[in-house]
Amino acid sequence: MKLKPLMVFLLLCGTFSFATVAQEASHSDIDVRSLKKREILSLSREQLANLSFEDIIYISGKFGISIDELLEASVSVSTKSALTPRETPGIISIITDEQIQNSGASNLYELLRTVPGIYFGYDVDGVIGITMRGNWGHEGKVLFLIDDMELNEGMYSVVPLIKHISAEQISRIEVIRGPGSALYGGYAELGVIRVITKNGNDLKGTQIGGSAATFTHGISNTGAHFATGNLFGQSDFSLLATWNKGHRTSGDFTDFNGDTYSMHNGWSDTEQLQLNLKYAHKGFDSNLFFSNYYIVPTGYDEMVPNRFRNLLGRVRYAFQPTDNIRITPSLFYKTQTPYNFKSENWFYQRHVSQINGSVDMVWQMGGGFQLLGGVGTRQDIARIGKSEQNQVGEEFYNDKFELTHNTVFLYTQASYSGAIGNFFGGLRFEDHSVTGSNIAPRLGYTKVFNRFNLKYLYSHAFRSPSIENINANEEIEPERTIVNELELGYRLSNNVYANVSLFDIVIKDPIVYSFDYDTETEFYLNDNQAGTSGVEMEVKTVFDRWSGAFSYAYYTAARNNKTDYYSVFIDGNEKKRLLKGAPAHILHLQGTTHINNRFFVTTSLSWHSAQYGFVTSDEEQEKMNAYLLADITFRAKNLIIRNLDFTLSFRNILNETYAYIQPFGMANMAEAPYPGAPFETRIKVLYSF
Amino acid sequence: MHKTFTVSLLLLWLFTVPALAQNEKFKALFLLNFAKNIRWLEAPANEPLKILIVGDKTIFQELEALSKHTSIGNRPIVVEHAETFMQHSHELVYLSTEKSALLPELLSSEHLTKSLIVTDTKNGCRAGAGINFITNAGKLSYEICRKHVEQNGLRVSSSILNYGVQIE
Repeated sequence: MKLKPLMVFLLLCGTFSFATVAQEASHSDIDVRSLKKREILSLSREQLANLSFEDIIYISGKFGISIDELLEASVSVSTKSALTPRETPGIISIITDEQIQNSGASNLYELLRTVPGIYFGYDVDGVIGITMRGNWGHEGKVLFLIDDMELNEGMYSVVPLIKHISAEQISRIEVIRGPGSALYGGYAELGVIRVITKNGNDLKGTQIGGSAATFTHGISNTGAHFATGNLFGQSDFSLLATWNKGHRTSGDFTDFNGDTYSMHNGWSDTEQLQLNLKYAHKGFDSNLFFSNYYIVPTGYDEMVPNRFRNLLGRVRYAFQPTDNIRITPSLFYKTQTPYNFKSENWFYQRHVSQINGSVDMVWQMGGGFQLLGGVGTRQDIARIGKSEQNQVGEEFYNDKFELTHNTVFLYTQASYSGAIGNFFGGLRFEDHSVTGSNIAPRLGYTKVFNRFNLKYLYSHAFRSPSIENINANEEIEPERTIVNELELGYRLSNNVYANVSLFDIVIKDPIVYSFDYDTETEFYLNDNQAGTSGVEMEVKTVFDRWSGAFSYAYYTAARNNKTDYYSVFIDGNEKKRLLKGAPAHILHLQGTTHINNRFFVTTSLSWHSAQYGFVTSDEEQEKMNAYLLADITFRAKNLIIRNLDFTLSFRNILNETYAYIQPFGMANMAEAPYPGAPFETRIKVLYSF
Repeated sequence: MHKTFTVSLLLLWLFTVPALAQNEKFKALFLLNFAKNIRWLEAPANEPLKILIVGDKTIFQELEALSKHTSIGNRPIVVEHAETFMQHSHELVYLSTEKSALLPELLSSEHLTKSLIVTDTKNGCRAGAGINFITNAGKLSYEICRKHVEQNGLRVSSSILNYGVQIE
């Protein structure tokens, strides 16, 4: 008898539990907000097919992007008209806002370090510049754009890197790893780096932040960041301000003269103030960018800052007279004071300004045809400052303290997109009032075959001599470059994409820098042929909770370089495959794990093969050992309180010793390699409201 | 030894086993919900609502599998796939990214004058599509041009308008 109540109870329990299961299986009103990602992934197709649109929107927002979205995100750096990275006629690398935030990078140099083929070398006076595919690209061979405004200064046409151009202000970077002269002109010979800063739509509120970092010897950097911006109807407004001050490296540094400098006691100091104001309304947009950056170089009796000031401004208005034509007139002005230096034995205070007016047009002709083009004129005015006039008294080559150069340019590109692929043909013509005319044609073919993509690009490019090139040698001529590029890409799965690109760069009559330390005069000359050929490989992965990138870059100078200024000689024998200061092999590995929606861990490994050049003396070239840089960054969103971001980053955790070799130095004129940063710990806090 | 250990740890962390992304699945789900949230022209009862996927086969397979579990009112859903545009009538046509060049052909087709065209390319709506997939802050989203949808005699629900980015 006692079993009966138990049996009834068990049956009731069983019935109830079966009923519950049955009811759940037939219930279409699933509360997706209570589900974890894993549970959402396990929903059946029947359940998914019957979710409301609101629920679909909600759960799609919980997941990250797949590789498709990286491949299909439009880029315009290589065409001035948006195309997907697989179709665009350029070998492209993109660094997204998410990657920037997770990387722990604090400036443009640290972000570019992850791009295949990009490396860095030592210029002079504490300046670190860019190397592209093994070629020294610092002086006017790589174009840097900030919101499509030319950042290269006008006297030597350089952009100093390391702790310059704050990562906090950057929304996205597009890099063409090959020539862009056909569209962008004379600074885009070996590459274009297009930095897009945050606008009101990115910010939608205000951000306040601070950062601090330490080397083993003490504080290495402090910084502050403020940004505000929003959309107001069809208007977009933003204001960004960033300030950083610190040291670039640590320890003692001994130069080729045997002088030793304590780098953490002022001899590697740097400071940057960067302001950025943007306003856009419908087709109109205006930008104002200011940066004041200095570094303290070694080699002088006293600590004197080497300053670079930039003020860039641009207004443009895009309108459509018809549905398929867009015309954009623009007016750009910049004034810059580069390498501004005031010491007893070296005094340089020269200002250069540029005014540039242009009209660009994009015409969608129908049937897959597109025509784009532009015409413009530019005036560069250089002036020797009063202080230098009084202190030095030296004039420009025209026997005046001021000179003016004028340039007229026009470019065009026709393209056809159809079932057989995308065809591109274009050219740029420039006429400079001193150095004459240049024409840079280019041809391209791209095709996406479902998972495969193919690109072939044939480009001419040129490098216009800068004002100081001409000032030092009135006979200097533009260097001209021919580049062949081939890229093959394959989407291995929905989450993995791989590509291989081959390149061959021949630079004719390269403009090379030299310095006579006896007379303390610099000069430039057109030397023999330079250039490299090589291969770059990339594998990119984007998963729900993990994204990663692997890249390998290799160059050889064996066939193309005939310039001793760049050549490597060890024990009297030329190492023909190598160029000074540039590692032949660079491997980069980076991965970000999304622990959950709030916590991210990013690890990065960069291996650089041995480099050669003047390492311990300026008499004989030597080998500098390979090195490995390893970083790890922890990022937490909404930490403690809502909208508070916290980043903890450990840089060069192996504490590797490395330095940047001067890529162009000759015996008795070379400078000692500039030491890289040792192990560094950084914290960054950002509050948004 | 210390260096090897550190690098090994970093590599181990770097290759933490990932989960599979769901991008195609979401695009298929979005397409299904576009179909559900459009007021289509009157059609005989039980006549299938026809969707054409041009290009991406994964989205086709996913949408085909989803469509077996639902219907639009009393109309079943039929999903077809093609590598190029077939000159047949379909209520909804999705043009995958690599097939974007076919958009002018679709827009001028007499078979699609009462259809919704969905693209997956930069400025798809400005080029004439009714809806265009975009990525917004790393998430899948879409632009919608009400004019392009309604000029074909279709009506858009407020939810589609509210969740997308409206293009004039």
